[in-house]
Amino acid sequence: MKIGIPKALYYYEYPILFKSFFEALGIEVVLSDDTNKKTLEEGISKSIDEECLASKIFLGHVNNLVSRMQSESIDYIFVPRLCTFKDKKTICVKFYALYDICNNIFNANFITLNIDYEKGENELKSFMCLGKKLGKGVRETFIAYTSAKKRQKEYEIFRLTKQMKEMRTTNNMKILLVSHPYIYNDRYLGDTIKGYLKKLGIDVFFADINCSSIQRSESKKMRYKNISKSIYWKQSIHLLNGVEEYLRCVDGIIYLSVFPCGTDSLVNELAIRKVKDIPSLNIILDEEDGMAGIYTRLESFIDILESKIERSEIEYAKR
Amino acid sequence: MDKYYIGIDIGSISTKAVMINQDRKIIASEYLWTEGNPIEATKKVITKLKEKMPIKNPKIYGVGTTGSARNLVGSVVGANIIKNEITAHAIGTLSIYPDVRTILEIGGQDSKIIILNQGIVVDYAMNTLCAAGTGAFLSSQSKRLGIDISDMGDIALSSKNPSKIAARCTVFAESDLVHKAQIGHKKEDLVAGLCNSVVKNYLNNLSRGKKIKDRVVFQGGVSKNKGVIKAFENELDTQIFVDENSHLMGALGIAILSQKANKEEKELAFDFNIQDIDFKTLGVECKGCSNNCEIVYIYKNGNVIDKMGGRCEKFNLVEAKSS
Repeated sequence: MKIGIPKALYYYEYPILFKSFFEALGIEVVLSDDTNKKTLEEGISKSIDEECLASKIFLGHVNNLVSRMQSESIDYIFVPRLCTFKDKKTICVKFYALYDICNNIFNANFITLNIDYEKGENELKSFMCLGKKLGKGVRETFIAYTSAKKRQKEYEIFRLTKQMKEMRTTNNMKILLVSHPYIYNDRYLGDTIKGYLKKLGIDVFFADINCSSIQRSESKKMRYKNISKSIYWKQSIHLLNGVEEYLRCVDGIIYLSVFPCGTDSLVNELAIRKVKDIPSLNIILDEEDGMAGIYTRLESFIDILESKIERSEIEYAKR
Repeated sequence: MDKYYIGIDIGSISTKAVMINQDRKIIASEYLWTEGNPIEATKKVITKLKEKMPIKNPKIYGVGTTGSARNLVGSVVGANIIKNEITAHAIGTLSIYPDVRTILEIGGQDSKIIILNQGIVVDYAMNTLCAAGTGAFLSSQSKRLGIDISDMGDIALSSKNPSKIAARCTVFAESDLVHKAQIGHKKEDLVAGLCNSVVKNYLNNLSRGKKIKDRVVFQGGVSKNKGVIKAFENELDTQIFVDENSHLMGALGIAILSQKANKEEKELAFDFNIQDIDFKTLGVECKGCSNNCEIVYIYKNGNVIDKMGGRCEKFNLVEAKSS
């Protein structure tokens, strides 16, 4: 059996979990191709214009898999339905709708994983259900789930340790990128910006990779509450935790979101107003092709940080 | 032997160039329209600069470019520094007003606000995709009213009762203007209303949450319009400083930066006879991946001197067909 996973949105939230679950069940996994202009154009043609750029790109990836289904004999395309989580946390409604949207737009076989704690669909139950749909036994599915979960966690810890180590050892300018992994990992959206910053000799760190968000016990310090007590979007909470955690270790913060993202337009604005004493830049990406305006903003932001560092060095030398 | 530095600011509407000496005083300057052809405009501006120079064959120790065509023109003239316009404007203005705290800038199609503290930039904002409240809007409306853009300021000042014109969006402002004109508002009242709407729009769009502190300096092409200056003074309730060279601040700033960048103080091989050199650009689609980025090749007398425009570095490996 072969399952296709679109390389967008939730794939970047859980890069290991789904893939390794299927593989543990002896199912081959294929990914859609990296995002390029064609992915975006196809995604735009399949979406209504009010979708956010990331959702448009997602549909482009699904389209890529659908077109490969016959030739590569892919049995299912995996599109989970992620809705509500523990502690009444939820996620953008775009994620709720993905499975149904795909079923409506494309004429292909989709398979889903329904995580909706409010409706009693917890993670374990959903995975067991998915295993059953794939014709696998209870025991087999359970082992696949626990091992996939473990590997996802190991990966998250590895990623975090690596980032912390780099942050401690580097002498370069440090910038915290507050952005969803499906934006900054995307080849068309985030790579251009990461590459540009790297060319300027800057180390980029990611807000979603942080201590608070991988701790099992949710009762531990929830730093995001300094910025907002009532936010309930799971991914935004991760990002705000990261902002609070790294605030004192970086030289500047860049908020990167895509147009028109409902959650980010609220959360980023809130963070910019509440987090003081650190320069920040807000960048919103849209369908436009020209990068000149974004480069100008990034370059001048870096100039501000450099002159600030220079100034504090001079003041330090005076003392 | 005196050392000289050249700064060129190539904006979407106009191209500015200055030559300064080592004491950062402007020796010669020139201002002309870009007319959608930055290379031609650069050639012209340098030729004009050469005519205006009080000395013959000056030794050039630095050339800088800024503005939206900075990369293209930077490789054409062989600049030793290429910088964004925000930094350039801040440096240029600081050299004239060392105590500046707020720079308001309205150019042809973009507007910015720059906040400084103790001589360094601490915050800035730039308009997004929307060009409302910029010079382009004023110039299109002046045509509609049948007046010359350079007379607009004086006409606005003569108004005693400015019309109220919507400030939210240029499209609404325009229909408001037409409506008010048709019901008999005087021309000077309409013009003054337009100036007010540009200022309100600017403040709504850019200065959200930013504290505008003294000293406030206003520059960019629109700063030549006295009506807009007055509208800013009324709205902000403070004195607005406009330098006689306010349109040259970007060029001055980048000239100063080119002086700073040339630490070894080596003389540059700068050719004032740039008019005689043949520059060509050629747009090529990179076939490296399906992004199909448009790569621009720049030819000097038939030889490629630079290529730019890709989202990644792959295009460096792709060869262009000769023109």
